[in-house]
Amino acid sequence: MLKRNLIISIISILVISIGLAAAQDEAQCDEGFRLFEHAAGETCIPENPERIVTLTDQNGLLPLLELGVRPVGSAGRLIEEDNTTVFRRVEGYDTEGIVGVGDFLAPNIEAILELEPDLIVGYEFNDSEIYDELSAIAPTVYIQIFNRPLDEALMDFAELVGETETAEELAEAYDERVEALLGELGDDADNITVSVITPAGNAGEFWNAADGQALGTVMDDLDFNRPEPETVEQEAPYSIETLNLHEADVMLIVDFSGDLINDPIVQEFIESSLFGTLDVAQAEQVYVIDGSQSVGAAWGKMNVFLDALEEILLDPDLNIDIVEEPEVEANPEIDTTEEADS
Amino acid sequence: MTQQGSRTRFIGARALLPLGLIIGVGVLVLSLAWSITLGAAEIDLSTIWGAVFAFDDSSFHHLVIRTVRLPRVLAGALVGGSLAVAGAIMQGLTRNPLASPAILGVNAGAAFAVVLVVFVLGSPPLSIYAVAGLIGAGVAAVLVYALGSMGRSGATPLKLTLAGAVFTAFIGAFTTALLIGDQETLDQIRFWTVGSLAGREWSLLQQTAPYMLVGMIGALLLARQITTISLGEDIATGLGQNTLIVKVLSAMVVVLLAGGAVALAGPIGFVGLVAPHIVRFIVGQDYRWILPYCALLGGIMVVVGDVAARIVIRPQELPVGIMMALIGAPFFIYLARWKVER
Repeated sequence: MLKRNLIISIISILVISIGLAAAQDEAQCDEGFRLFEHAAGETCIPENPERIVTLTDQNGLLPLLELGVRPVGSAGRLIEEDNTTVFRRVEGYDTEGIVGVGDFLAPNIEAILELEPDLIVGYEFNDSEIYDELSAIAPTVYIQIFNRPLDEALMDFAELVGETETAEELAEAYDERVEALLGELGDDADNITVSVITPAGNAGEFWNAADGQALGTVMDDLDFNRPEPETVEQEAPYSIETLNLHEADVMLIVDFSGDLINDPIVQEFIESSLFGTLDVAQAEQVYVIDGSQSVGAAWGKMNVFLDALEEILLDPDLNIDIVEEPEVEANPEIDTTEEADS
Repeated sequence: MTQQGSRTRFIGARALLPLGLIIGVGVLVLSLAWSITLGAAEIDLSTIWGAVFAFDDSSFHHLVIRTVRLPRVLAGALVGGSLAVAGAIMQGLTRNPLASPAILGVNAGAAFAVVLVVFVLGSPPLSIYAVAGLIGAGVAAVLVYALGSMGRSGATPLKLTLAGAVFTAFIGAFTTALLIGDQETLDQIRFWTVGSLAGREWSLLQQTAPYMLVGMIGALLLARQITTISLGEDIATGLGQNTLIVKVLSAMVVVLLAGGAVALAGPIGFVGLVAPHIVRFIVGQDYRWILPYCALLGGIMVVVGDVAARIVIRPQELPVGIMMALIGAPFFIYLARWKVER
């Protein structure tokens, strides 16, 4: 009797253990859900989400709107005075009826709860602390936006909401434009050096304006030569003393203020006597472009930058011999120019 | 001369005092030269020499020296000298070894005024900075003196120091509130809560220098009177001095010096406190020597401190105010202990 009970117990334990082990090898999602891998792990998300809340505007609401998906709510920039939420960088899209859930730096959890979402979408800069709280409300996903090509992130958004076809169409249209621009430039594309910078708030400092994100992804896809300091990931602002290292055939000063004519910081930067000694400044091939139209995670933002580039680079009077580019070897696969870090 | 004077003076013979000044000027020039060699760009000595004495306005590096490094370095010397002289005057006037523009709230008042003006006006013309600094310094001086004079015993050193500390903390809170509350203000003058020479350009130097230079001249003219008043109120009155006029004029000089310095570089502490002590050790109690020595030593301290601030965490920079605190605070503790023991 005792021996029989013992054997049954041992076999039961073994069976249960094997069953548990088997269950843990494959995290199965419930019916109507599928597994989605993202920056904060793996989550079972609904196959057809209908009530999405995004935790940020330009890197969450925007990409979804571009794919034709309307979240029910989103965080954005909170205006303290009247407690309203403004959605940035979504001009041209109808955001009527999308409920604001607070500032993207500190989304209002209660407001999100009230919306009864079935999917919450954030990005890697959302607090990891609130991830668990949000996961208790609805499956929560953080898409990585930075430190990788933007089109990859946009494809992730598409996969998330089942709009991969739409995204592929957008990607194809974008790729065609990149090819078209390179095609029109022909051999010149190898001989052109483009600098893309923006002055910092502190005098005497400036940044690489095309280091990742929409601007950076476009520059990487076009693969023009860039001044040496701009070919590596930037960790600290450049000192104005090193401005001469950014000599180029074309220099783009990106103005993010949205106030192209009047921004004093940009004006001061390009009017300084130091800037005036640059060959590219003396050749008058310095262009101030409106960066505010190219901020955000969307194909449209990259296309706006392509518009500006086309206008500048396809000008027949453009002089591309201001800077001498290193020789390109006969075999195009071997890249003797600086490695662009992507 | 008092017994105190001859016993504690390092330079025994009065005849050596002018020599000390000349050596001081030499040291200051050397530290200025050393400071000019530092920066993000590698510029060799011959280029630096050329930039100063054989200027070529089409040379990038010459312009870097002249428009970026030289104003910064000269600003350091001027600010250091002004704060040291202001501190010496305050210590002589109040007969309080702990008096300085920082401790008696003058720096804090000036900084608040500048931050307020930027907060309200956005991008005010540079001439406003100096005026704001002066007004802030003046109001602070009056308020702290009034606060410290309340009660029967009048403005004793202890009460003045306490009043200064209270005022600094109080006004500092408002300054910080303004900086936190407005993102733009924060970007523009982030480092102004501790004092920084980064990005100091000719234009601001030109706007603020006149006030400091007038203050220096005024200080030298008042030196004899300050020596008398530093011996004691009764002695001064007994010698026929109109102490009220001397105090008022000295206060105006302090406001010019400290207000101008803060408008240029933000509130830099410890120079005004430490330099006068070192100088009094070297030259004794005669303010006709103390003040010019302070001007030199203060300049040297800030210029060398700025050099250190730019080296320790290369390629990043520490604000010079932090470096002065790092060097000055232990020094002050040492001084305080030494003074007390005596």
